[in-house]
Amino acid sequence: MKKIVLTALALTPYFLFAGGFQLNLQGIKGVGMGGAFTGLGSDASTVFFNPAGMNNLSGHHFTAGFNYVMPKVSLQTPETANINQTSPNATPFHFYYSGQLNDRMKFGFLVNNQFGSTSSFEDNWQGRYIIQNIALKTFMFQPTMSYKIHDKLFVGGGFVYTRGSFTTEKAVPVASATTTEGKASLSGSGDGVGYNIGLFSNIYSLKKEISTTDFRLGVSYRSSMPIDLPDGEVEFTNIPVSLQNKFPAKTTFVSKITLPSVFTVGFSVKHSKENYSLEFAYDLNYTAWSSYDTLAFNFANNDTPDSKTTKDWQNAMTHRFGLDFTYKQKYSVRVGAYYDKTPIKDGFVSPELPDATQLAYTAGLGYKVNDKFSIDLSYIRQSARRESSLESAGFTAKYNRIVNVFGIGLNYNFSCKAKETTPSIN
Amino acid sequence: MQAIKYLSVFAVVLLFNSCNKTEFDEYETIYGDANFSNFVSVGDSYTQGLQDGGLHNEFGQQENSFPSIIAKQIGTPFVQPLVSGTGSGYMHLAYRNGKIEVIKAYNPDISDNDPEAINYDNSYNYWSDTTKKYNNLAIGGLNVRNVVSKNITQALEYHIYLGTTHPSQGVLAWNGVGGQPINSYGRFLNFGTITNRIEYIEHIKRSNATFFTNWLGVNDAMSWAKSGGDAVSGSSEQTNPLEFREKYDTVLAVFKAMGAKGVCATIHDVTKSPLFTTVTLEKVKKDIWIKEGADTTIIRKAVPEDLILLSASSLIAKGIGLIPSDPLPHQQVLDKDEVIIARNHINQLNAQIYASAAAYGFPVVDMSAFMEKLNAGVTYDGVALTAVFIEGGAFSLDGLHTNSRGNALIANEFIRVINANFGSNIRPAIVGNYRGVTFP
Repeated sequence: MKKIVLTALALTPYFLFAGGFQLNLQGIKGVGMGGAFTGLGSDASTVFFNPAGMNNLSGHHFTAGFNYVMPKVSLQTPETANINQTSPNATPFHFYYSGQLNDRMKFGFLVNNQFGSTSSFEDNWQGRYIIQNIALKTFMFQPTMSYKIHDKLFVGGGFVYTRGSFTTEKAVPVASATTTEGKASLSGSGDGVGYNIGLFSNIYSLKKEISTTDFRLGVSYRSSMPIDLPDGEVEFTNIPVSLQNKFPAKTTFVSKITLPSVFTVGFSVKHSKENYSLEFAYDLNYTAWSSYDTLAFNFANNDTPDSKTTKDWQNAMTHRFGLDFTYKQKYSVRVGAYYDKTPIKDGFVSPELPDATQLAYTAGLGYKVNDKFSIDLSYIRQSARRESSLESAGFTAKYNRIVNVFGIGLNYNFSCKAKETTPSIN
Repeated sequence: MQAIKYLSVFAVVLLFNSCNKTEFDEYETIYGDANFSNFVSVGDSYTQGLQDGGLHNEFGQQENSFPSIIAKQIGTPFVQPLVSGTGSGYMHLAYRNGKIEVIKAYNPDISDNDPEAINYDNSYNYWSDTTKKYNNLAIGGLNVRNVVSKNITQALEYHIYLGTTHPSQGVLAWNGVGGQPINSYGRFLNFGTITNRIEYIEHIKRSNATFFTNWLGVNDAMSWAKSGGDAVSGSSEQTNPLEFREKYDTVLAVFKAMGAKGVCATIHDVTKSPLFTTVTLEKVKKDIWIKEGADTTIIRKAVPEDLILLSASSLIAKGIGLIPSDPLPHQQVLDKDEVIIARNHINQLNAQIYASAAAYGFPVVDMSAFMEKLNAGVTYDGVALTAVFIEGGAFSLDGLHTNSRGNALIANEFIRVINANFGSNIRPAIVGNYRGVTFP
């Protein structure tokens, strides 16, 4: 078992994860609450969810976390009763920092994997001419500022730099006397830029003798990001000699993947008493997946037929709900759910990413060790079925997918100002 | 205590695993109303598993005849008379000077064979044991009219055409070419002697089939068309629709009498196969002069509606057909009038197939419609297939017969119709696992 875990960690750390290939795992507290965090702003992951939320955090906050994604996907075709994907487990991570520059200005930074996907199949599987394996990875870097316009209204924004890389393999249906098929292996990397902006408002606070109820609102927009793959490489192997002009051992290609924009409106309500607090959060995401309309590879070698696949993905909405119960500001229990509409229309469902509309459940725990340090744990359960086809490839299958995700996050904060001011209080 | 600890760990693991089961259950095959235990196929070259202009099996070409693929999907034994070595000889591709060339099978009648031409195997003279019981009774070149002879003249013709030369069977006295029957593809059956003959229909009777596929009839239309509409040779005569019907009925009556269930199939429009569609005026980009039908001496410029045969390309390369004084021979062209004759004839025979099948209560696989779909292009599991010569991927190098991959497509169409009519759920074959064109 240990060996398996280690092997999996060493492999590509990304996996397709609902809602297209977006990895909605960007903060462990948020993950436990169904992924709703845009209107919360209570830890440094707000740098991602809503940059303006940084103005809620005083001092310096660090959050680091990673998720252990355990996917299981099985397919059934008219010809084959059961096919298991052999995708490795994945470990997307995130790191956030939010720091106070002055009373009104905050500075933040993030590194995370916002998009990713990995699917692989056994070599001789039925759909090998469609997809043998695919891995898409992205790393985002985002320096961020936020500014307090008013006591109740913050604005924030960041510049996003993305480094993306991509590998895929599939079989080529040409045989020689000694081979039954060839293979195409494509790999490429490139970068893109975008931005992430948000508004955050502590819109209303209802204070009573023994309780406080805070109402918060957040709006964020993460722009789309075109990632150019200017110098992709393709290797063709096991190609009959007579076809090596068409499928040379090595040539280059250009391609482009546009990551979609995500617009989110969220709110939260937190009811606090002396001993406990109860917090509800809701996010509505609108992900503009229509940016993923085609996937084209243009090969430098003139004889190699260019490839263009129509994806025709649809813009999709996701509803996220979460609840946090915290006892004595130390022990937290979280539950959540999200309803995720798939961007992939019937007739366009590929075994490389068999996404489905689904209701998923989440849970989380939090433990505040001391004023500076806290730990969060999270769990997501996805279970979806779909029967659909990839018409362009003449491939129809039933898909069963179960994904378990375990997350752990560490939060650390300190306040320089607090240290300086301590003596004066004395 | 220790035991309880392990047991509880085991229980948790079990619970977790059962919650995480995504695997689908294995398929359970339902056979429905049909009994597939003795599955027999009758037909011509399309059923026998002929590819690249011959019977050969070095990559399982003959082994993957379409009825054999059906039998594999059913899971029922299916014995075929398989050739060994180079079989009957066959066409293959070679890569020369940066070009892919079709190398014709070795032809003993000519002296200028390609040095790489593949000759028939010595074993092919007696390539199969005629006492063995075969499930695949198809014979390349078999016409419906050949299944039973009505008189001694027909018998002579058919038995020279189909007969055997195996010494143990008694030599046929009416030698065809070189003491062998004209058609070597039928040598795995014993046709007796002319006075004591065993007709093809007799072999069907002896098969005692419980289930059958019958895709006879293609050759009745094809052999005329592929000779450029030449009816001079007996083998390429178009079968008269009335005689066709009478003998087709005989075949179905025999199956009916033995209580077999099965399916028949229609004749596809062979004039849309690569043999007829590869050499076009558009591609040659020159005027081509042709000689019209066998009984005329008209020489004229070819029009797009004339179908120039694949084999004419080597003649054109030598300059034949480029000037009026040296036109393409009429056997190399199915001229526009002959195309219409061929198509009308196919339609007439198909009407007979439908009528006969209905009379005997057997369902029909519409291969005519299916091959139209294939000609237009189909895609299975990411493999695109069309009727384009070589690169289309579904047809073998003779331009008429499908290769193993094409056979899998045909098998799946038969399976679809069988399932629809007999309440079975035979699984289709994985098309991409079968070999397409073998490139050099």
